[in-house]
Amino acid sequence: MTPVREQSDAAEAALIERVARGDESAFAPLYDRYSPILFGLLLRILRDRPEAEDCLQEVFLQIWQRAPSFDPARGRPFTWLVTLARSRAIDRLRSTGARARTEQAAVAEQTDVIADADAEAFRSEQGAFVRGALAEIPEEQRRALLLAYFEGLSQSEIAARLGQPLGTVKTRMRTGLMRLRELLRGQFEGTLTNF
Amino acid sequence: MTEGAHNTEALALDALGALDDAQRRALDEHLAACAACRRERDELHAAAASLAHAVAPVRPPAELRPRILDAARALKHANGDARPPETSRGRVIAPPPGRFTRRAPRRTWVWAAVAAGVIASLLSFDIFRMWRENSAMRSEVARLRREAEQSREELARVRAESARERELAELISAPGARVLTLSATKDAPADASARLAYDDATGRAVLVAANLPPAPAGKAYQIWYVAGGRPVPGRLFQTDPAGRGTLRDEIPAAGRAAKLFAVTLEPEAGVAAPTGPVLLSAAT
Repeated sequence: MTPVREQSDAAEAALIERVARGDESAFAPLYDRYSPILFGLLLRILRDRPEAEDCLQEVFLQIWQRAPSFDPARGRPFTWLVTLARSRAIDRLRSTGARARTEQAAVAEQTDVIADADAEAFRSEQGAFVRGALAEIPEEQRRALLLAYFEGLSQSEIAARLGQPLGTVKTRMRTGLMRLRELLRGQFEGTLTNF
Repeated sequence: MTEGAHNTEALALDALGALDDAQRRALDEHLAACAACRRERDELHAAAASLAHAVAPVRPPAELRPRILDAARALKHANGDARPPETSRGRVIAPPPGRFTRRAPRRTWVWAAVAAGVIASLLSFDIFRMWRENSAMRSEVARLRREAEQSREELARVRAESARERELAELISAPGARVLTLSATKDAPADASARLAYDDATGRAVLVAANLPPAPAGKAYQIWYVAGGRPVPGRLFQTDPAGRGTLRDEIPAAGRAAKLFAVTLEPEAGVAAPTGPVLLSAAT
């Protein structure tokens, strides 16, 4: 981990800790810092603006309530916040019904990160790292990862969607995620920027 | 760790949110007893969360910020237990933010007051406090009622939106369907855009516009399918105050081979050849 990243993690962890103590003045900076990335994520998962706006509110209210359970020893603030947002969005998505979801997944895949890599909005450094890493992961592993993470498909739904046996899909998900971890580790070490 | 490979797989699936409930319970049991796996879990969760960086950050609409901050504040006050509302502290000067923790200080304060023997003043203070809490509660109820009303309207809107999205999804998943993003030209707000899904075979098309301000009175937006250098007129549409609009169209036969798609601002009755500036465009 780089010094800059450590510093910003510590600053964010301090904000969350203050929110946990009921300090309203820490909530707005946390919102300002994280709402764009969380909103982008919610839009990607829900593919519906009003739905994503509602979900963003839900997510921040949960951050406000659950801040006391944030444990810096377990991971970065980024991980905690993103994980919370993703699971709220997936819950919402699942309540819309599995069939519609599977259909939508087909749509969303077309617009996915790799295909859209040249879009202007993707020029953030962090995004470049992750997309770079994703590009190095074999296609079939990458698809399994993205279908699980962004579409909230279950193992068997992914297997059906990719037309592969369940065992194969599970292995791909595991191998893909382990590979992603290794690649990102290498990138973090090679840079001094704030990831 | 006795079942190394098996557990790594469960941990990876867990990080990707793809475990079912029974698998999760089994994993949780194992995690409770295995520190190495807990570390592995934290790392894999971090790797999965980094996928969020692959999506473009999008600044939420400005009006959402006060709404969310207010909602958090209201939640805090409704949740007197976790975070005591200011009213229960009476007119005591608010401590610096971040200093007050949950119950202990409040209790300490009360006991200190009792110990000081200010029982009479405490009684009158209590009455004052109850009066304040009561009126605060009444306005809270009124606010919640308003919010419920808004939620109902919001829900109706969301339902309509998702019906539209479903239609779009249905069209896009048709074999041979194509999807394009029309982006803003210099004559439109920079964040205006539209997604166009169309099927050359049937001519069915759906356009969903975003951040396109409502057209001035007497005007409307019109879509054009430019084939062989000739703009074939499509239907007209309007956008709502939030800049959203949807259009369903049947592309005329002459426009089906279009290589260029554009949206212009026109008189609301529509025109046969574009007169207004091109606001959004895309080429295949």
